[in-house]
Amino acid sequence: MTTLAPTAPAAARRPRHPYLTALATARGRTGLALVGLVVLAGLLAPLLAGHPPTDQSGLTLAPVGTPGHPLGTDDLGRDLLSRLLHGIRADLGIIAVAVPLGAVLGCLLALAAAVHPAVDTAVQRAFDLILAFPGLILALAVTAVLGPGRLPVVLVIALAEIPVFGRLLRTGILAQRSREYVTAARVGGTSGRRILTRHVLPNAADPLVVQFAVSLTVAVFLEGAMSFLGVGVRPPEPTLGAVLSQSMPHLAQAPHFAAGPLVTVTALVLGLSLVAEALNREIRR
Amino acid sequence: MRGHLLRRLPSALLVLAAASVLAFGILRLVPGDPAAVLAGPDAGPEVQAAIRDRLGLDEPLPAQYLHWIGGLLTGDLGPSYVIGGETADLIADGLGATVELTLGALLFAVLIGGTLGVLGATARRPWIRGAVRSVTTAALAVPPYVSGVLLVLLFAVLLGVLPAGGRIPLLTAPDLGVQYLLLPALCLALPSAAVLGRYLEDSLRRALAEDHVRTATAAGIAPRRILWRHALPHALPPVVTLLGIQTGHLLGGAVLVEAIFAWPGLGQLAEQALVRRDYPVVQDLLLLLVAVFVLVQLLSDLVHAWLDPRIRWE
Amino acid sequence: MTTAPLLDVRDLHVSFTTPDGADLHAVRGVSLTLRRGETVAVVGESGSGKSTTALALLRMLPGTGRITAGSVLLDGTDLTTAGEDALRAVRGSRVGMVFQDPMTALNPVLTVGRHLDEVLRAHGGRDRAARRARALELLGLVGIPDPGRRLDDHPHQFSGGQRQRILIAMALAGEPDVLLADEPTTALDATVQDQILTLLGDLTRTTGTALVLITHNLGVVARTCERVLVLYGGTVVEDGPTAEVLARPRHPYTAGLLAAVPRLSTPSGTRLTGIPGSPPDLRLPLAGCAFADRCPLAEDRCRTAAPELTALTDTVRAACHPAAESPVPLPPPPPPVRADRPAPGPVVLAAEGLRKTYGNRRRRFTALDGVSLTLRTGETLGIVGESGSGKSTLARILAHAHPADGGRILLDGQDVTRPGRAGLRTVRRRVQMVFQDPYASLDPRMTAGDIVAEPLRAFGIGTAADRPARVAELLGRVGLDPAAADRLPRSFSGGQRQRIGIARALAPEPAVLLCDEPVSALDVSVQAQITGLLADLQRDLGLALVFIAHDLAVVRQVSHRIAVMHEGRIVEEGDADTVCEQPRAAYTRALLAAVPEPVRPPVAVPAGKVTV
Repeated sequence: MTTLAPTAPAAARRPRHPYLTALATARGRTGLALVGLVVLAGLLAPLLAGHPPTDQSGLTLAPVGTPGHPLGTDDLGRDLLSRLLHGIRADLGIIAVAVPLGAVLGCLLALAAAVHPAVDTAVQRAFDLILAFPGLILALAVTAVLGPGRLPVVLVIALAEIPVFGRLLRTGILAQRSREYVTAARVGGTSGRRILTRHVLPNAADPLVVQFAVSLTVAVFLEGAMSFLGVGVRPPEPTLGAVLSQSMPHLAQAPHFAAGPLVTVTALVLGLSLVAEALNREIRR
Repeated sequence: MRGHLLRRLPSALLVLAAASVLAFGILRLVPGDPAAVLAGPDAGPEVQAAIRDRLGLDEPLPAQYLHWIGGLLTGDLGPSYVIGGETADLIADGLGATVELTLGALLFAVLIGGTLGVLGATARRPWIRGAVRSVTTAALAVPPYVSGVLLVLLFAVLLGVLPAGGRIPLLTAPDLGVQYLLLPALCLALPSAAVLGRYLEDSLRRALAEDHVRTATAAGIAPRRILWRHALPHALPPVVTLLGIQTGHLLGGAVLVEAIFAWPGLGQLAEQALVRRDYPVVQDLLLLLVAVFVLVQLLSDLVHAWLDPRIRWE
Repeated sequence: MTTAPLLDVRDLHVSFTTPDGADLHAVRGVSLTLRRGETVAVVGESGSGKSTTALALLRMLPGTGRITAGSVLLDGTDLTTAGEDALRAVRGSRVGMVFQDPMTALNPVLTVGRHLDEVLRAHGGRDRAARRARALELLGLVGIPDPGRRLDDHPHQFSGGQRQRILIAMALAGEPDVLLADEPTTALDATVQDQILTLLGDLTRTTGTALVLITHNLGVVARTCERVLVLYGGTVVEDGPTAEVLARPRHPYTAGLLAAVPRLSTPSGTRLTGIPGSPPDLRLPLAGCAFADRCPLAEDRCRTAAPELTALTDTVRAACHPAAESPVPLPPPPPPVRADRPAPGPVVLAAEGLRKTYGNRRRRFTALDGVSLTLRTGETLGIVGESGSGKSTLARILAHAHPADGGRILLDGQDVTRPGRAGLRTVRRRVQMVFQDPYASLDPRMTAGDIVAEPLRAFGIGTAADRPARVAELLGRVGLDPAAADRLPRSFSGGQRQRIGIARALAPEPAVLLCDEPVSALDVSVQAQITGLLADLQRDLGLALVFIAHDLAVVRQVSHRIAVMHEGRIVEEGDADTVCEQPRAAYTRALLAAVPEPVRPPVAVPAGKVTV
């Protein structure tokens, strides 16, 4: 019988979780820092703002650096810093509910589809149907029924994410199920439920984590676009998209009006994209 | 090829049918009497009665649905009660503008995405690959309403070289029309260009790592020829499918870009109809947009099959 | 011959950089000469550097690979310093290359005609019609029937063997002086391999093209090449005429390799000696002989001074300190001894008329067409067949991984074809399976210990507290260090992974072990270790084994009885030695004839006598 040379050094025994490795790269750290900054601003909005976001002062379109209004005021004399901070807060509130909701529903449907071929067909066609209304057209359809507001925004985002997560997980489950180690576990007596939870899902989950970060960016896009079209959160409540869309007519004389939300949206989305990319690179290795 | 089409057709028709039911349901889901909603608060009972009669609102729902579909198939969409005029005319006007915008954006997306993808997959110098990556990351990180604002600021406000909004149809005045089309098309194209670029880069890189590229290299075929005649044809089919999906996103994104650039297309019409609660127009528009998208996807599927002999012969 | 060699490789070194920045020294001073029209085999196991050497010759190293020292002289021109254009002029027109996997080596979106056309065009074929005519001629040359009709077909419309023929046609299109074939038949069935080797032999003879054949299979070497180079750990350990090297190896590694190869003539129930240990870590610098750690003859100096390749006779050279001083070849391996096997007991598993069909309404494929068999306690039933013969499907159905469409499965005389929930648990405790691919059959996220413990937990064997001890015992039983239980599969070698798979299968104390190609992904020296382990387990535990393989020689050696499968049926079944020596079915005879043997049976060549 053979003796076996120790092949792996002790450090390789309990490797650091790949996600942590991914987030520790320069890319991951930059992304986390950007996202963290924006989230912090949103969380601390009531403390940092100084004014309520809907209070109107006599000063309209005040420039940056006006005493009491560091970012100036908008066309109705509202404090732009306060509107920006509360806008971030409102945006985060929406995407923090909508994306997990869509992800969970999508995954549940994919799991249901994994149970029986008939369910699978039904779920697949449902996904096809949702996907046939690309992005904003879905938003139009939903708001046609519900009218503008916060709930339709959440619903549109969640609805748009359902087939994305659902298809991703379904593909993952199918791919893992055909792998030989799953057959091995089955022959080894492992129950169907345990195979799903212990073998298939952990190995199919990686793309979902990346998709979650990507979907958060899509959610920021959608919220902004809906506000822009006037079918988003109702004014005067600020969101990033709403502030931006209000700034449009005044762009020529007051470009600073748009600066705050422009920078914030870009930073948030860039941060999330960098995190997604870092995770994706590590997982693909 | 024909078999492939026949296999795809049923599910496309199914989606279309389901979408029509959903679009039809919208008007009926809105609280209140549809006729009263459509007529608006100022209209008298005779206007409401006319609407009710025209839409057949007194008939049972299936009959109403068939009535609507029948009208669609014969091209009779009826009048628009809120916006005014014939719905068919409104849609025809908007469709031309939206198709122009979407095709312009598609061209941009393919040109920019194609260049980025090929450069990213083949550039030897790391800084070029880094630059490509930065460009795609940036294009993906900036939402269209942000890039739209930036483009307007730069080209219309600061440089003053291009108009900030509006449209002159390309076919009536090509030179002026292009000036008006440039910014909105670019704005609409950026995210799709980035997605296409990334996907093509990935697909091309994998194709270049295939064994058959090694075979070609060992046979003494020049790297340039291997890239264009061997790797690219192998990488392209899935990219075409993605292009179909991206065309749908362009259609959806057009709604937003039209609002930013005051482009008088279907998106503007939809927004107007929605804000003014002209539900029959919304209903027709939704179905039209879904139908176009389903058709585009079907087409891209066929092109995919045509490009990939393994599917073609199935 | 006294002419200058056509190809002269001198002291070639190739390195790769691993993802964590370490240097992997894959080729460590390989020298090789090739004369016009000569056929040379480069043989070695995985990690020996044989494929890397082949790719380095044409400067086609993938990724971070680079030539760090040495020269490759083709007719006096050094290819290691040649420019890209000069290299391109050499590739395809002076040196043609054929690769291992014909399924992926052709571009699926281009027609076969385009493939050939591209090559001809690259080498100056200006006239389109002339290129097409030449492409037709080439397809005919490599034996593609009806080439005129097939020219516009796509690769997926050809079988694996035909694709390999097309690749050979591409390699020969530029009329090269050298044909470099990297494992050209490894992915093919034995009968197809036989045809391709015949083709290569004919073509090199008729065209005068020299052949460098890279392979791990000593039988292929013996069948095809005049001369052989044996590679180990990135160095040449032995170089000489094939007949001489394979009959009287000088280097202990060559001898070990030869002893580990199962021969068709080796009777059933014998034991092969694997080479203990595992190949050297190529990241470490080489102090002495690469083989020293596994060598039975190793002396102190072997570990400190690297032996030079020195001429031992007029024709044979070897890199070995002890061999250099010994005037005689190594003693031949001891004749195979029959291990004592207990006589098989009562029938434990039986199948009657099993059927299985895959596919949908459009396309149906019958994988099993009425297969019956019996298996006794302590008995090994070998099942042999080519790809698509249904042998893997049979294993999966017997293991209840897939349901059968028809027929019966009897376990201990009870019908278990369609067991209920409780019945299935009983069947699974009694019947376990070992899988072919040691990489795909272990969950990459679970530790070795968790993998082995999984069936214990599933069947509720023992308490959670005594499971670690049981896992350690199982790992020890299959020859693994029990301390390895908390490592992930990726830190194990292929052979070690297969041991984990066997430990997992043993965990519920089964009576029947179904082994689906358990050794075909492993190197020859490791293969012998695993077959030895299975034989030990059978002796100690009284296991009934079903041993599925495509290699008749291995199957004969490990099995009591053999069933030959072809197109979903068992075409012949019987005592292992009888089936191999007096085959009745025509298919069995074809299979036997296609097996390349490394050397004629030891009895045919008495030690000490030289036959040329």
